[in-house]
Amino acid sequence: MGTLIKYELRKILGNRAGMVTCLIALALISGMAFMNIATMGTRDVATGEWVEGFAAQDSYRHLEESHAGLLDDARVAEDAATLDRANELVKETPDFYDLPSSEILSRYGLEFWQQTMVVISDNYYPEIVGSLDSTDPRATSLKEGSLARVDATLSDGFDHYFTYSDAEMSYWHGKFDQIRWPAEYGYAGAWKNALDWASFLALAIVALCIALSGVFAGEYQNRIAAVALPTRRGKRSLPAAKVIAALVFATVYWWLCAGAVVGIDVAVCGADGWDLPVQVVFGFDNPYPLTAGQALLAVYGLGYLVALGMAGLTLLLSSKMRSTMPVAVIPMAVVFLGMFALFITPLAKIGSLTPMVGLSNAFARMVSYAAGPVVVDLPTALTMLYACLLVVCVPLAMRVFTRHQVA
Amino acid sequence: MELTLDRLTKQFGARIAVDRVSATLVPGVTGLLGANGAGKTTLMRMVCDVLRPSSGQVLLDGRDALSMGDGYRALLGCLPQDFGYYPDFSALDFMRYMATLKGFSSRDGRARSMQLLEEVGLADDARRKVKTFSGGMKQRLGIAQAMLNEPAILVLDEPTAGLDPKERVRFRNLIAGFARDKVVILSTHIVSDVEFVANRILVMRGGGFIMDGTPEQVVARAAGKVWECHVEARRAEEMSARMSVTNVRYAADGNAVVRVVADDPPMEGAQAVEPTLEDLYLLAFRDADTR
Repeated sequence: MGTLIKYELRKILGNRAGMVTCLIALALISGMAFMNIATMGTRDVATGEWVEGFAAQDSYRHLEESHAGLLDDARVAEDAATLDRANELVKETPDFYDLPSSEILSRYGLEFWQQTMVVISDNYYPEIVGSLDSTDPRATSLKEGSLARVDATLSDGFDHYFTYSDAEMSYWHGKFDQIRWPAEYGYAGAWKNALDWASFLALAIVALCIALSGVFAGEYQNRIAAVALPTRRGKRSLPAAKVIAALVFATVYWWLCAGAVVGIDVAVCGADGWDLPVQVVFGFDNPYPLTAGQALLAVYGLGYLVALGMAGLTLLLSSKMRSTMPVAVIPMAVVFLGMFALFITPLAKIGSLTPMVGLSNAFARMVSYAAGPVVVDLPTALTMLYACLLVVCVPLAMRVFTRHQVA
Repeated sequence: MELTLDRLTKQFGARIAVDRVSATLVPGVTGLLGANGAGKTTLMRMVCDVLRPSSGQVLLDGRDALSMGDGYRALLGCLPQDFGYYPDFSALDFMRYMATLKGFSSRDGRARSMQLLEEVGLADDARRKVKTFSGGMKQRLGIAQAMLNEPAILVLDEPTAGLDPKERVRFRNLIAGFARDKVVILSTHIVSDVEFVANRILVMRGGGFIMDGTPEQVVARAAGKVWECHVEARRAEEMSARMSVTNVRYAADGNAVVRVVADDPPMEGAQAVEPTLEDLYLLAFRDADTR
């Protein structure tokens, strides 16, 4: 069996179109992950100067680190008071938002600049006071403010695409209740970037589907099936070896791409913040009781399952079709058409189940599916869907190949 | 060992490709002779278990061969018509891959592959990629892979396509030596392929067997229907256009000797001659509709 698997892997690696696509996708994913950091720009909080690239990343890091610590009520109250002082000064200047930063610096000084930049840029203040000129009643604690924002999202619906049922609201409140307070704040740049860019790994899924399109169809297309099937191991070990080789390839390629994204982010931003709450990454209106590290493992693990599910679908299509072209096109359509589904209200939830949108929204937004009192969130729905695809499609693909009629 | 085809039928939509054919095949070479579209390839595919019959059975020593699964396929060696290959595999890679599929260990597979590549004259090209091979070389590779497992049942569908005369002779000798205790089914529309090696000939037309017997028995069916006519050269062309002419030979005196297959003497003075398998083929397919 081992020898057969090696041969099947060799055939997959020998598919030039597939390998070129995989290499291009890997280069794109790595390049985009790198450029995400390299093209970053921000005002340096220490000097007020505009900085770009790694310097901007450093500046952002210092900004976040300056706020690191436990966000208990006393700390939040102190920070809110600082913001209030800055806010008063801003109110005295009606055209404040139109002023260039150099004018703000010269008029109010560096200390004001730092206070303003820190409190505006930071993540948790919206939960307490909304925006600078907000007149909303102020929350007395971060937990209370965060819950208010969760409720606001649940009332507004998923970007107004759909409404949450009572069961779903209860579900999300239950999740929120599991978050530990007071929350720890700090810098988690690498994990934030890696989580933000997880959806681009859908490109890796498309590439691996193209690479796997010929696993069965290639045998029909190259007229090999008529020689390979009527052999002792042609109808039992051969399809199994093909499936194992395909899944091994999918595994290696997925983690290679995922490793590239995470590796670049960690290399540039460092590995700090692994144990910080995921709210530091996604905002304090996120109800998942996870750390940034747990969220990263969950999203990338989920992505791996999605990749395997799509590989299973590709194998089934490959076993059914006699040409590799449509086999490659269909998974590609599934991945990319999901983005367009978001623009069509009734399809928004279905669109979230496609790989790219799914990986973007999983753990980052409150997307849920309810059937009466039963509610599942997006990560659970994705797990169920792609595990089913894998479990159903792979044996079916083997069966179809075994029963292939050479006519 | 007996391989029995029991009312084997294959229907594609409204078209019946193979129509209730029955035969019992024993060790030796059975030549399956027929025009293109006669149903030979469909029959071969059913025997090889890559095409399900619409009805009927293939029986091996009385057991349903297809339900034997791996056990039956382990006894098979198949060379399909127009067989495919992996372009980037070398001949040795391809042979070793097929050896793995046939259950050989890596070491035994390599040894057996090299032995067969030697036998079919490809040992020097063992490491060349198959995509660089000529048609004849690919066909020899196909024959070699079919024989890897020393199959008890060897199914060869148009095996000599692309082979030059010297290679055909080598192939025939290979098959003759191989077939002593094995069932070999050799499907072809090239008469000379089976003429010298087949112990038995099945002539197929319109999806069914129309003749069955030893080469002598089959050829005897054409006895009294093959004629030689001595005519002027220009008359030979005219005869070729309207009769089943198997051969025209021009004599030194400028006249032609025309060999004609016909139920009755085609002209006055025509002489009945001993038929050959080629004559029989022409007799059987002179009005065949080729699909």
